[in-house]
Amino acid sequence: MSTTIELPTIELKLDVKGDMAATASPQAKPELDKEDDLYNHCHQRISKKGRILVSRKAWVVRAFTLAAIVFFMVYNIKVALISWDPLIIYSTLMPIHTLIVFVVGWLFFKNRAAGATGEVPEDLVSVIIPVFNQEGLIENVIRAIFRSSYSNLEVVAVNDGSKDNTGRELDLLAIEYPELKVIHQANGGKRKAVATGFYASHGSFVVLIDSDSVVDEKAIEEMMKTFSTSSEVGATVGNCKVLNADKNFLTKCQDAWYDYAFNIHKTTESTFGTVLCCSGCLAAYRREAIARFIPFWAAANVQNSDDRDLTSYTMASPWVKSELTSLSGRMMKAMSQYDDAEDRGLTSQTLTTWETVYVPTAVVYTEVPEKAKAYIRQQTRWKKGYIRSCFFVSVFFWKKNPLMSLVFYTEFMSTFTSPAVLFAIYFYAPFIQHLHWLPLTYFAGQLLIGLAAGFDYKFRQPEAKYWKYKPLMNMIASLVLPWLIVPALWTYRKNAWLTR
Amino acid sequence: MRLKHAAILTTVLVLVAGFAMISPLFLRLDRAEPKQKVMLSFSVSESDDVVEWCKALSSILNGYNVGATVFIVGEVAEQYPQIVSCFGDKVDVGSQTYDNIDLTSIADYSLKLEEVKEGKIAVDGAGNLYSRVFRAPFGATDQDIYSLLSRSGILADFSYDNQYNLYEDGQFVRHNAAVYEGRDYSPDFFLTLPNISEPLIIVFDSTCPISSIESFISELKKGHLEFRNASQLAGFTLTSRR
Repeated sequence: MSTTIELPTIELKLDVKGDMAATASPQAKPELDKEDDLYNHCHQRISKKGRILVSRKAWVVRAFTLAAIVFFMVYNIKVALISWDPLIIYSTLMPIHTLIVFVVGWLFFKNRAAGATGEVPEDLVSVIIPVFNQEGLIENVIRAIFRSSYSNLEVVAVNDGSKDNTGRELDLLAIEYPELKVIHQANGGKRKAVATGFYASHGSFVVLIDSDSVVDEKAIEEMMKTFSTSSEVGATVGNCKVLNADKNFLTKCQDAWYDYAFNIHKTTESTFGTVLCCSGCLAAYRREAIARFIPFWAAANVQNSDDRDLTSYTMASPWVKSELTSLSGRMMKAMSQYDDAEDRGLTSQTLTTWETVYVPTAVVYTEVPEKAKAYIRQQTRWKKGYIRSCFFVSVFFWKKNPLMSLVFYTEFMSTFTSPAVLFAIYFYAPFIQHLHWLPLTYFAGQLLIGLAAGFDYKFRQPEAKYWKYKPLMNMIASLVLPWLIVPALWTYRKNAWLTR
Repeated sequence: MRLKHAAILTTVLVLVAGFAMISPLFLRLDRAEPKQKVMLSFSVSESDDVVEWCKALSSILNGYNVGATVFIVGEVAEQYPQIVSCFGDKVDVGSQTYDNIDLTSIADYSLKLEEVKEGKIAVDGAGNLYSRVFRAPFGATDQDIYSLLSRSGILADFSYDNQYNLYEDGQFVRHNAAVYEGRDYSPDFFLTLPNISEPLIIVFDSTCPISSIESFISELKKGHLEFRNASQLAGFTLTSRR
């Protein structure tokens, strides 16, 4: 049995002026048609130079946000210097981290696909879909790929021992689409399924798509345009949006979170060519960027960090890559034993030489957990993968851009320190140190940063419905998620396809 | 070094740095104790309502039982002696030259000395006291200040933005302080400042509305602050009433 997924359609009713104003009506000026068409696909207005455009009102809010962060930082430094407060480094580092993410993402990011000149490359692209128990949705996933505007595709769907009707659905689709190759194998995990697809395919570019992710028809073309802009781009990641956002409170919160994660955080990473995780929902690699790592990566015994691992490998510097290949057989093997962040693993490996880049115009819709238990399980799995990937990436990332290094090491550090900080702020400070203003200040800070990101979502995508949930999501992210470090470390060696 | 060892090393470094950075959060058991030392400093110069202003200030300081230090221009003290005598025992009274003039604008040393000496004599005479605390008008001093003060019998100098000087063992010795213009900051700023070992010196002048000063002191009294005058900071008497 199959279901049909209607992808969100966008009506252009932008309340902007001047050169940003646009309409989807038939009366629209011809020169705007191409931009409007792209907007209908990626829901963000992208300039010809690749900048994500927003209204003047948005820039006012952004300026206010940045000014507030700077004010807080300067005030904090001033007070700390007067009092020789030893907490000065930490309490300054965190707002600097936030400032870098916002400033770089808002002011310096350019969508490289917009800079592509000439024809879209015609290289063969291999689309690999590891599939496990995805009855129903898989048909839409496959059909969406074949609706792609990029035509030179071979699609390999690897059925990893599904126990439902997925295999049969794939076989029927293979009859309909001769370019679809279906491989059935005994259940061995996502990494092994991807590796099977990798070896069974021939394209010089490999696109990995999760079996619960539906790509927009322009997505692969936009990613290929990005590859065509520079031979140094080894991996690209698409703009992931939530397919089931309307479902409930949790999915609405995740919708707001995905927007921040991709359209603010990843834009910052991408500006430096160091996207740390080319997410499994839609990632594309040059075959040569990951080919040497796939054997280690595929020997996985756990189901996490696959995307991060590959990305990291792609972006690492040459000398590190040389170290990796000569000295790190055991390390790679150890890293590839786990499937909890298989995407991160691939990314990590890609990072060793290449640039990894975010493509906001390559949109993919993915299903997110609808129940708290499943969400917590997913987040625990991601945290495990994040730690595993960062453990490896931290060896070489200091060689990257200093600002991005600061962001990376600050985030890696705070993954471990956040629970202690939360304990100190919400319990130790008010009850032991009698500092009652500290939890309130911290809470308000998180809320305001969430509000700023939420507004930014609304300004970039005026029809966005769930931007209001970003402050709430910030509360969840700052109060609940840090504690998942405990189960993540506790079950560090445990392995499973945890999403289904 | 194998990559695994390098990864362990960098991860441990990140963890150590992280926990070292946040450890101060846990190191101080009760940051509300001890109280922060604060000296309120008032510069009094010529104005139409200077007598009322000083009397009101004295009344406020008495009412809130707050120690402070008042620096009065010699000429004004001579003209209105009551502005010196109105302050109670908890308030140190000092001078700030006779004419409220920028000392660095006077080239002649003897004229500078006369300004400082006459200012002190005028204040002492007006209040029937012996003051040994000084603040240079506009905070302006030069290298002559030490000899000017010692030759005038002044032992404490509160002319600076980040220090005060006390005459100890035959020379002026620097003591650190955090000095703020009171009108530029709200009381909340001082109440939320973490404790520091140096005293906070909050400076007002007689152009500041007395009602603002009262509400300021009223708010400060809610915090964990210990109000001191110049003598209490110095550890010896700087204003002897006869």
